[in-house]
Amino acid sequence: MEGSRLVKEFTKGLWKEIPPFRFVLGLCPTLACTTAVRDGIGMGLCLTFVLVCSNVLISLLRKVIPAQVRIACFIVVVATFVIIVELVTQAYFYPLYMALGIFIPLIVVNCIPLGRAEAFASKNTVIYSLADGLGMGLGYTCSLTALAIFREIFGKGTFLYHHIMWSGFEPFAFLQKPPGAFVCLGLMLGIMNLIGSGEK
Amino acid sequence: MREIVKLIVVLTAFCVGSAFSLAFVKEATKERIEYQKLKVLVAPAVKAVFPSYDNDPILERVKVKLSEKEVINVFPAKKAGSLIGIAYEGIGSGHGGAVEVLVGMDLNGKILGIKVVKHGETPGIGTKAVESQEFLNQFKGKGVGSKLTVGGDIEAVSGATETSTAITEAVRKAVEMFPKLKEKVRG
Repeated sequence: MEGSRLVKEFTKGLWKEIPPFRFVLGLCPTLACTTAVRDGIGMGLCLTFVLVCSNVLISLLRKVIPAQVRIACFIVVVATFVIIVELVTQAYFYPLYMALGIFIPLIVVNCIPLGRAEAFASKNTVIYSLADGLGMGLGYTCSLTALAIFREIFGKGTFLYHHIMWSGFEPFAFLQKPPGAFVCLGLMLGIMNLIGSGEK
Repeated sequence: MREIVKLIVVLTAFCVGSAFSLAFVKEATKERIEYQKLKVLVAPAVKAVFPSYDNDPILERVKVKLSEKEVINVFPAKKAGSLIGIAYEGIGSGHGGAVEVLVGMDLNGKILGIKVVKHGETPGIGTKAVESQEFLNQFKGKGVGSKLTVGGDIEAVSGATETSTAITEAVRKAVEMFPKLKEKVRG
C-alpha cells in the first residue's frame, strides 16, 4: 500500500475528476436538489454514504462476482445501500427526506455509484476503493453545495434558511426554477473549463 | 453448465443478503419513522386543538384497538404529569374522499378544539369550511351528549355545506368513541 497513491485516489474526485463538473455525471440531483444549501449537502452526503459502502463491498467481493452478472450484482448492492439511506433519513432527518423526496431512491440509477463500481472498485483493492468513493462523494457534495449556495443566496436571499441579504433585496426567483439550475450549471462548467484549460 | 450454476448461486446469494439486511434496517427504523411522520404531520394539529400542555403527546401516544382491523392513535395531553385531555382522529366522508379531523377532548367529554388534518376537498369551495375558524370554533364546548348535526347545533359554512357536514360527521364519530378511549388511555 502506497501512501501517495492513496492520496491521489482520494483527491482526484475533489478536483481533477469531480463528477458533475468534469464527467458531467449525476446531473439529475445536481439540478433538482440545489435550491437550498441544506438539500445540496444532504443529497451529497447520502450519495457519499452509498458510494463508499458500495465501493468497499464490491471491492471486497470482486473475486467472487462472475463477469457475466457483475452489473446485476452491482445494482443489487447499490440499491440495498440506497434503501438503507432512505430509511435512515426518514427516521432521523424527516424534513430533509420530505425535501429530497424521489431523488433519494433515484440514487440507484445515478451513474456515479455504478460507474465507480464498474470502473474502479471491481479492479482495485478495498483501501483504494474506499479512498476513491470518499473522494468522489465529497467532490459531489462540494459541487452540489457550491451550486446550492449560489442558488439559495441569489434566488431566495437566504443561507441555510437565514435571511442574509439587505432588506429590500429582490431575489432572482428565476434561479430557484429549473431553467435557473441549467444556467447555473452551465456557468459553473464554463468556469471549471476556463480554470482547467491552463492545466493541460 | 457449471458456469450457469455459479452465476445463479452468486446472484441469489447477493439478493438474499440484501433482503436480510434490508429487513433488519426496516425493523430497526420502523418505530422512529412512525414517530417522525406523526411529529411532522400531526404535531401541529395537536398544538392547535389543546390550549396548553407540557408533555410530548406524539411520543406518549397510545394505540387503541377498536376492532380486529382498526387501530387508532390516541394522543394524551398532560400538564405537570396529570392527564388533561386526549386527542384523536375522526373520519367523515366529504366531497373529495375522507376528511380526517383531529379532535381534542377534555376528560369530561367536552371538545377543546378541532383541526382538519387531511382532506381532498375542492380548493376555494370545500376548503372554506376547513379554514373557517368561526365554523371550527362552534364545536368548542360541545361534546358527549351534544347532537352534533348540521342544521341542529352546528351551522354550515354557506357554499361549503358538504364539507361542513363531513367535518361534523367526523367530529360526531370521534365524540362517540370518547368513553371507550378514555378508559383505555387511563387504564
